[in-house]
Amino acid sequence: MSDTLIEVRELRKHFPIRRGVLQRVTGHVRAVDGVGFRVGKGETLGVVGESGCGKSTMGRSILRLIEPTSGTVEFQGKNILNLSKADMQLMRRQMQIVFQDPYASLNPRFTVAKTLMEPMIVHKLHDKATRMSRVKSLLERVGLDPDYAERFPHEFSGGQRQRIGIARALTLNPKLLILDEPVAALDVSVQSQVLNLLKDLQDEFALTYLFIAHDLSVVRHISDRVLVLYLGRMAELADTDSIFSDPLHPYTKALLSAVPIPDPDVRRERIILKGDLPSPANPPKGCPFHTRCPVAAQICREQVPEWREAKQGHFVACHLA
Amino acid sequence: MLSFIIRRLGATVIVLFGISVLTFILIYAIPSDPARIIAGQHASLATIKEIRHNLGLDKPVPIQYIDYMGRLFHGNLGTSFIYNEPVTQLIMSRLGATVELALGCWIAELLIGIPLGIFTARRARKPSDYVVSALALIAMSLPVFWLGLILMYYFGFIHPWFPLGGNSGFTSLILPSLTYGVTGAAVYMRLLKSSMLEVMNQDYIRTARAKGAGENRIIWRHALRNALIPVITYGSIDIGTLLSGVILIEATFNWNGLGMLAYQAIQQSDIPVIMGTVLLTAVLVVLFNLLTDIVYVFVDPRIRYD
Amino acid sequence: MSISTPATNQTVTAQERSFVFKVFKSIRQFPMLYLGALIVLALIVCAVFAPEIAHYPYQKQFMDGLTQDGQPHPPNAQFIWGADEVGRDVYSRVIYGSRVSLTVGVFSTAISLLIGTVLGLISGYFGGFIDMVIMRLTDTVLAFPFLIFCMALVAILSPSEKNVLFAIGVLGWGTMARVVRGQVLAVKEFEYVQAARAIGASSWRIMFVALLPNIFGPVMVLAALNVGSNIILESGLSYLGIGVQQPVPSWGNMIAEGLQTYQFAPWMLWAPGIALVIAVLGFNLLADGLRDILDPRNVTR
Repeated sequence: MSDTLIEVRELRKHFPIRRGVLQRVTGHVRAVDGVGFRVGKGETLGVVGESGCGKSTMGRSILRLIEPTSGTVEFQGKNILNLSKADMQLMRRQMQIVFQDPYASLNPRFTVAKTLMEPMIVHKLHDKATRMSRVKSLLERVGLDPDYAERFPHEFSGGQRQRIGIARALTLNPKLLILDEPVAALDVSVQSQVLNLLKDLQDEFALTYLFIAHDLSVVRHISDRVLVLYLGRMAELADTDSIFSDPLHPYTKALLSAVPIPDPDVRRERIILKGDLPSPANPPKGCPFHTRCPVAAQICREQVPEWREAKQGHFVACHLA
Repeated sequence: MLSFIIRRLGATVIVLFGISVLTFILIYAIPSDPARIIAGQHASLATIKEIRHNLGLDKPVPIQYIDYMGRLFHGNLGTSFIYNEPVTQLIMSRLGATVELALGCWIAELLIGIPLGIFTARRARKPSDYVVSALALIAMSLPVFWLGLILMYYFGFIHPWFPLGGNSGFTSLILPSLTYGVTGAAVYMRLLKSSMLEVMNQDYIRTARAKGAGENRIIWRHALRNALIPVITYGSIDIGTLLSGVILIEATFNWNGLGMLAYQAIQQSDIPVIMGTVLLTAVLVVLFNLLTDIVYVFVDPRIRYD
Repeated sequence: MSISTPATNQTVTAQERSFVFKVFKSIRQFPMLYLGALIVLALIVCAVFAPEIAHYPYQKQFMDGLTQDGQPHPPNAQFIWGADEVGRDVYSRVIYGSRVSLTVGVFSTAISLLIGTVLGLISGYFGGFIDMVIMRLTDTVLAFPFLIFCMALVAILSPSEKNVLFAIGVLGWGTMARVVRGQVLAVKEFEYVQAARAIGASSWRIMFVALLPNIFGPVMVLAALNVGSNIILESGLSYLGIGVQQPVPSWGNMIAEGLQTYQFAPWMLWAPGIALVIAVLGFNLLADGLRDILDPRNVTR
């Protein structure tokens, strides 16, 4: 594997639940519960899980948009979770995020130019003229007409807005982009355009991606490796080919069975999970997945499965795999 | 629910504390020295010093605050400089008249506002709605004391149907209440209209219509009942506005209540009386709001208090 | 926004016609807004050009302003709205009175707006303990019946236009703070706020650069309403004799004079009262019109 760009260890984010007269903390929602992985320079790690599994919270905790409860996030060997405000400010130039909802992620009162200049203004980079020329070149790079700079977000389609969101994330020349379901809100026809754009940009600017998605099919063509999350915990991590050809965790298998296969001759049994995602405020004992697992055994109800390397570079948390 | 009530009580205590601190600060922000006012212009320095000592004005400020709070808890609001009577007694003797007037004003508001609200909601976007709504906007812009004078001029002086001010019986209550009712009703009307229109769009009203219920039955049985909730809420929390308006009404109609007391006290720099009325009215507002919230816990099943 | 695609053969006159048409259509759609704006504009003109519009200086007393038996002169050619009980021209005093109303109304609102917006932004954005403290403070300020509170403060500071303005502004920010806080709570969950944090913007920058423009609309509606109610409040204080003092005319102290004389000189009541109603109506119309424009249901394209 290439050099590590970012390494996450034992990341946890627990949201307190307050009740009663004194608003005492009576419990915690364990949105992210002990996640750890490393991403190499120029690599794309796909992160997959149902909505509510904590993947967005994880992405935001890594950027400290939400302060994580515990754990470390090392960026080029430096733990960013205990950086001072000023150092974190500098660090933000290295790591940016693209949001899911292109309608909510752009300030409706800012023109495109203002949206794209804002990062440069905050970081006191360049003079006015340079900023404007950078705006225009960024727009061009993400496939938009530079003359659109003075328009407002409501004048654009969802796909165009997402391109603006990507341009904003690139303004500061970051090394890492967290893509928080960047195509989930787009029409299918537009999705592949945006995915292709992301791929091109990765090659051109040597970007590292953490690509969050709720289904495997989106992740397949862009990821080098895939991490599957369930209820804030890691279920499986392997390179993309292994995940698709040889999934070990029953949850991954269920997710995979939902991915359509272009070949009509290939038949695959569809695994339908029963029940809902359990509440992360009150996760099941033992393996968090046992309540919905089609093959759960007695041990699954009693012991938390260990995170182990089942094959070379293929990690899983399952007693039975 | 119990936890909501307890927390609401807690917040009320904090606000009451805030009110006491604020009025205390106001008293101490006064540039003139109360001892000098009591002693009169020709008093010697020694007399003033003695009065200051008797009033506790030579103690440190926090101690003075504690003394002040102690007196408040005993219902002691000080002694009027002008009347030389306890402020509590002065206030009590005027409170009845003000409550009577405020009640009259409030009833007038509702009596005018609610029927007009129903009317404009039923005639929404028709000419009659526009006319009434425009009149309401003008009514909202009327200064209450000016309208009072105009009404008094026409219905007290030109046509002597009502007394020209003073509080003596029911007839003297009509013009002041009407004055306040006209200016205040517009708010109720607009509130009820918008909440009626909203309710009329709800599914259960459509269901009632689909079942073939008559329009009148829908209005009276279904829509109004639910649409009135925000109106009543507003009515009960609007007591502050009511008390402010009542002062102007009292001054205009020479109604001998709390407002007149405060007004005269301000003109004569009678600080204990000013502070007494300010404190009392603020506490009344807070307690009224608290009462409304608590009543709602029991009355409105839709509100959850977690 | 008007990003015109390269105009081809469109003649200037056609563009002009479409502009006139648009204005006309907009007036038809929002008549209240334009009427309100017109009244407010007229009020500003009166206040600024009072010396040119008024017939006489406001404090000048005329011998012929009083009748033989010493009563105020009814309206005639010289005193178009009559004279007051010391022989001053009511029309001129009403015109000058607009200065007090406008100054107090606008500047006291500006003070409340500043305090209320800053506290509301901080309260809504940071939440938690800070929010609790600010909201309890707001509750406290709102608990005092506003007029009585202002009366007390003005009485302490001594009555003058400046003190009235200050008292109304400093005590009147409660509703503003609540509305701003509510708006902030509604918009701060949008991802563009997270995006601003992600690029490293400070909390202050997020509050004042990213959030503020997005809550501007409702705040402006409230501000317009506030100017109207502060004009009424000022006139109420002056009416009670604890506002603007004679001989400087305020519509409130003019009505107070009218209280003494209305039985034989009702014009002294009419002129300042109607001026007051129109001024307040102007701001109320403006507020209603702004609310209509901001209501997404009324947006037609």
